[in-house]
Amino acid sequence: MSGKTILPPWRRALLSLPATLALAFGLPTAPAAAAPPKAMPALRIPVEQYQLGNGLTVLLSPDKRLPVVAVEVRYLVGSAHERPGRSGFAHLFEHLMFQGSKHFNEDYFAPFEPIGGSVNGTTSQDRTNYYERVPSNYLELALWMESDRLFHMLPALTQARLDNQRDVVKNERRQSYENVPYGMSWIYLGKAIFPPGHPYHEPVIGSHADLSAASLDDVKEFFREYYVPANAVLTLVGDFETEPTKRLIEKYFSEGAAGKRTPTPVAQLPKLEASKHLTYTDDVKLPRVYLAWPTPALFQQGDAELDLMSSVLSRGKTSRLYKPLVYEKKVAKEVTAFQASMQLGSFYVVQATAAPGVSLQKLAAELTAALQTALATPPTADELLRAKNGYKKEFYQRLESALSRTSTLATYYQHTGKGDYLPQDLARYESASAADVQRAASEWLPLDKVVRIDIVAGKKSTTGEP
Amino acid sequence: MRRAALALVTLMLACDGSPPPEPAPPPLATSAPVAALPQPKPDRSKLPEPGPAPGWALPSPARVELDNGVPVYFLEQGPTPLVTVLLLVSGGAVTDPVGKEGLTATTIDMLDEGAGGKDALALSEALQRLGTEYSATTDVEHAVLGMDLIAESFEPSVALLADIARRPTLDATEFARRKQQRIAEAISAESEPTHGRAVVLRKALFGDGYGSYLPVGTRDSLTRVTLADVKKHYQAMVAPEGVALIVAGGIDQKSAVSALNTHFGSWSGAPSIKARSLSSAPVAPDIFVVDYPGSTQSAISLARRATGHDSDEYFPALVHNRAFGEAFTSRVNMNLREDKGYTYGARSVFTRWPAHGFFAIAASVKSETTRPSIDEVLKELEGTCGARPLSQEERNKAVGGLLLGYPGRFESVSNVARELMNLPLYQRPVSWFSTFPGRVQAVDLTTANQLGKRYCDGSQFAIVIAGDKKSVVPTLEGLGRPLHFYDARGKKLGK
Repeated sequence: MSGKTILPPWRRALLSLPATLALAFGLPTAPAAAAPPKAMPALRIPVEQYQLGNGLTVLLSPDKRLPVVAVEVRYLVGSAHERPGRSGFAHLFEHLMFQGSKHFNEDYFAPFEPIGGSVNGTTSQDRTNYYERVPSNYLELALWMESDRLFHMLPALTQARLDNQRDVVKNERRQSYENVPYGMSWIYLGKAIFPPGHPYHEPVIGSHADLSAASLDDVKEFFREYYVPANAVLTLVGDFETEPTKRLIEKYFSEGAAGKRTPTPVAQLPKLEASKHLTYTDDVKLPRVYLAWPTPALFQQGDAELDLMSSVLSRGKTSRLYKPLVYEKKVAKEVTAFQASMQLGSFYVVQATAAPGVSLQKLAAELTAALQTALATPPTADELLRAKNGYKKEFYQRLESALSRTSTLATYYQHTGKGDYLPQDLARYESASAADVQRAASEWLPLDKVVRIDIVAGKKSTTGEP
Repeated sequence: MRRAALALVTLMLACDGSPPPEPAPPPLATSAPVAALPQPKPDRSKLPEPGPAPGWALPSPARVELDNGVPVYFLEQGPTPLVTVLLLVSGGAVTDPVGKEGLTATTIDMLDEGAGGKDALALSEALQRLGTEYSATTDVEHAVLGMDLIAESFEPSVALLADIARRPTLDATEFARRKQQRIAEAISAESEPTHGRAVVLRKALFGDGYGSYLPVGTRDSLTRVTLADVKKHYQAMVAPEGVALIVAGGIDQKSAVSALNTHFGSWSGAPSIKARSLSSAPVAPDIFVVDYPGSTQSAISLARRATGHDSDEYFPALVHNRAFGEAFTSRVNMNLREDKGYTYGARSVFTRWPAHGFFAIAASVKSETTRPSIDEVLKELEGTCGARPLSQEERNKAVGGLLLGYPGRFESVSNVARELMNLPLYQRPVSWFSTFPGRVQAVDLTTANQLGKRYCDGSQFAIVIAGDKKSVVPTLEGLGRPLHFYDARGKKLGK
C-alpha cells in the first residue's frame, strides 16, 4: 500500500526527450470575453423522398464524410396497435425479426458482425425500427437482408424460436424495469396518464402473462397485417451514389403486394378531471415523487414550448426547480422535468428524489410550491436564450452519426409526411417566445389536475399493479 | 482524413421561417413511384458480394505543445459545427488516501462549483449561454474535464475551462452541499444490483489496493472527506505537468492552439501525488454474494485480474474476446441468450487501466437460472482451454469486424476526442490509428488461442452474485467454493 509519486504516462514518455519546457510567465490570462451568442442558424440536409410502386417509402440522404452507410427500415406499427391481452407483442415480434428469414435462416447479426456492422432494432408505442450501419461497399448486403425479412420472415419462424425470445424479452423486462430502482415507474406513469382502452395504457414491454399468451398464429397474423411495403419506410444515410442505389432498392424491395398503410389509432388526448395520487413501494433508499400530465402530441402546438420549459425548470444550477429544491433548500437529491413526445399524445413529467432524511411529504410540498412559483412568470430573455442554445447544439448532435440521422429523418416522415422537415422542426424552437412557453406551461401543467405517483421504500413490486 | 473531393457540406444555412404545417398522417403514395427500368430479380440463393473497398485515410492527429509544454492532441473533423475539448488529468481514484475513497472524484466534481471569480450559479449560466455542455469524470488512473460545444463558442468556452481547471474557488458552502449530494447519490446507488455487483467485484479482485473500489467512493468514505482534503488534493494533482489537452471537431488547428495558449500556456507547476499499489494478496476464486431480497434476476460476474493497458496481449485479446464474449454472436451470448434464454444479454469484457485491469463475463439472469448460467460460463471458459479453441473462421470474423468497424468509431466528434485521449493516457504514439489495422491483422489463430488459454481457467475466477440470497444460495452447492457475504457498500457480513 505504500505510495509512489505518479508522473502522467505521457510525461514519462517525454522524459527521454530534450527538455524543451521553457516555462512561460507571459501575459496574464485574458478574462473570458462575453461573446454574444449568435442567432440560431437553421439547418438543412439533402433528403430525397419517393415511393416504390408497392407503396414502400424511401428517404435518401447522402453524406460522404466516412465510408459507412446506415440503413433503417421503419414499420409504422408499435405497441399502440396491439390487441387486448397481447401487451408487449410488437416488441416481442421485433425480436423474432432477428431470428432468421427464409433465405438466411440464422441469427440476423451473423453476416454483419464480421464486417463491423452495428445492428439493432427498437420498438416504441408508435413504430418499430430496424437498422444497421455497414461499410459502404456492403450496402447491398444490408438491402438483401432487410428485404428478405420483410418478404420472407415467416418460413423461418418456429415455436422454439418464439419460446426462446419470449424468455429473452421477459428477462429484458426484469433487467430494464423490475430490477432497476424506480424502474417500474415508467409502467405506472403510462397506466395512470392513459386510461384503460387508450392505445398507450399498456407498456411497450408488456406483462409476463400477455407475453406468455403470444402464439405462433399471433405472430403470423401480425406479420401479414403490418409488415407490408405500404407500411414500411426505408431510410439511407451515408456514403452512397443516389442513382445506382435507387436501382438496388428497386431490385430488392419491389417484391410482394403493397398491403395497406396501418391507420393511426384514433385516441383522444386524455383529460384529467381531477388529480390522481398513487403510491407504490420499491427497493429504494430514497423516496421519489412524480408529477405528470397528458400534453400535446409530437410536433403539435405546445410540444416544443414544453421542451423549452423543461430547460427553464431543470437544466442548470439556476433553473427554476433545481435552484430552490436542490441548490438552496437541499430537500431534493435531484429534480428533472421533461416532455415525453409521442404520436397520439405526449405526457409531461416532473420528478424529484428526496435528499436523505427528507420525508416524501416534505419533498412533495416543496416541489409543488416551487413549481407553482416557476410557472407564474414567463421565462426571462436570458433563460430562453440558454434553453434555445442548448437545443441548438442537440440538433447538431442528432445529425452527427449516420444512424442517428436515419432515425431523425424517418421520424420526420412518419409524423409530418416530410423527410426534410428539419428546418421547420428547428423553427419551432427558434420562434417560440417567452409568452408562448409560459402559455403552454400554464395550459398543460395545471397543479390542480395532476397525476402524482409516489415511490416509497418497501417491498419491490414487479407486476405494475398498485 | 476525409476524402475531400467527395465531402459535401451537408449543413446548409437557410432562413426558412415558414410556419410548420398541421401534423397529418403520412400520405399514401401521393408522390409518383420512381419510373425505373425493370430491375433484375434478386438472387436469394446466396448473400451478395461486397463492392470494391472504399478508400479511407486513417485519422492522423497532430501532437503539438503549448508554450509551457502541455501537449495538445488535435484532429480537425468535419464538416460539423461541433467541437469536443478535453482536459486529461493524470492521477485518478488510485490517489485517494485509504479511508477517503472518493476524494479524487469529489475534488474533480468541485472544480465547477465556482471558479475564476464566478460563483457556481454564474458559471453554470455562462456555460449554458454558450450552449456548452461541461462534464467531469474520474476513473482509476485519470480524470477528465470535458466540454461539448459549438465551434463559434470555442474561445469563450476554453476560457471557462481554464477558470475551472486553474482557478476553482473550492468554497466551503459549496463543498458542504456537494458532499451531501454525493453521499445521497452513493446511498441511492446501493439499491442497484449492478452497482452492488461492481463494488464487491472490485473488492474481491483487488482487496484494498489499486482498483479495489469504484472512483465515486461509498457513503462511509465520502463522509470522511473534508474541504481541506479537497484543497490539498487539488494542489497536488491538477497541474500543467500532469495534464494533456484534446481537441476534435470543426475547428482549425491554428485557432484552437492559439486559444489554448492564451488560456493554458502560462500555467506552471508539477503534480506531486501518491498512488496506491496493487495488493499483493492472492485473489480468492470464491463466491461473493450481495443480497437483493425479492430480486427477479441475479446480476452475476465471473472475473479475474488482467494486465494493464500497455501489455503485449492487448491486440490478441481484442481478437479473442470478440469471438468469445464481446460480439452479439459471440459464444457466451449465443449460449446464454439465444440458446438458453437465461438473460437479455451476456458479455465478456477486458477493463484495462494503464497499469492493471480485469477480465469479466457478466450478465443479468433470471433468478432461477443463476446456477445454470454460472455453469454455462464455466463450460465456455473450459472450452477455450482445450476442447474448443477458436476456429479459423471465428478468428477471421473477429478480425474482420474489428477492421471494417474501425471507421465507425470516428463518427461523432465526442467519440473522436475519446479516441485521441487514449493516446496520452495509454502512451500511444500519434501513429496509433494508422497502425491499428496492421496490428489487428497480425493476430493469427495461434496467437489468439494462446491468449484464450491465459484466461480460460475457471478455477481462477471469482464469482460475484447480486441477487435474492435466500433462493440463490442453496443452488450454489457443488461449485466447491467458499461463500462470502457482502453489503452493497463493500462491507463483509457474517452470513
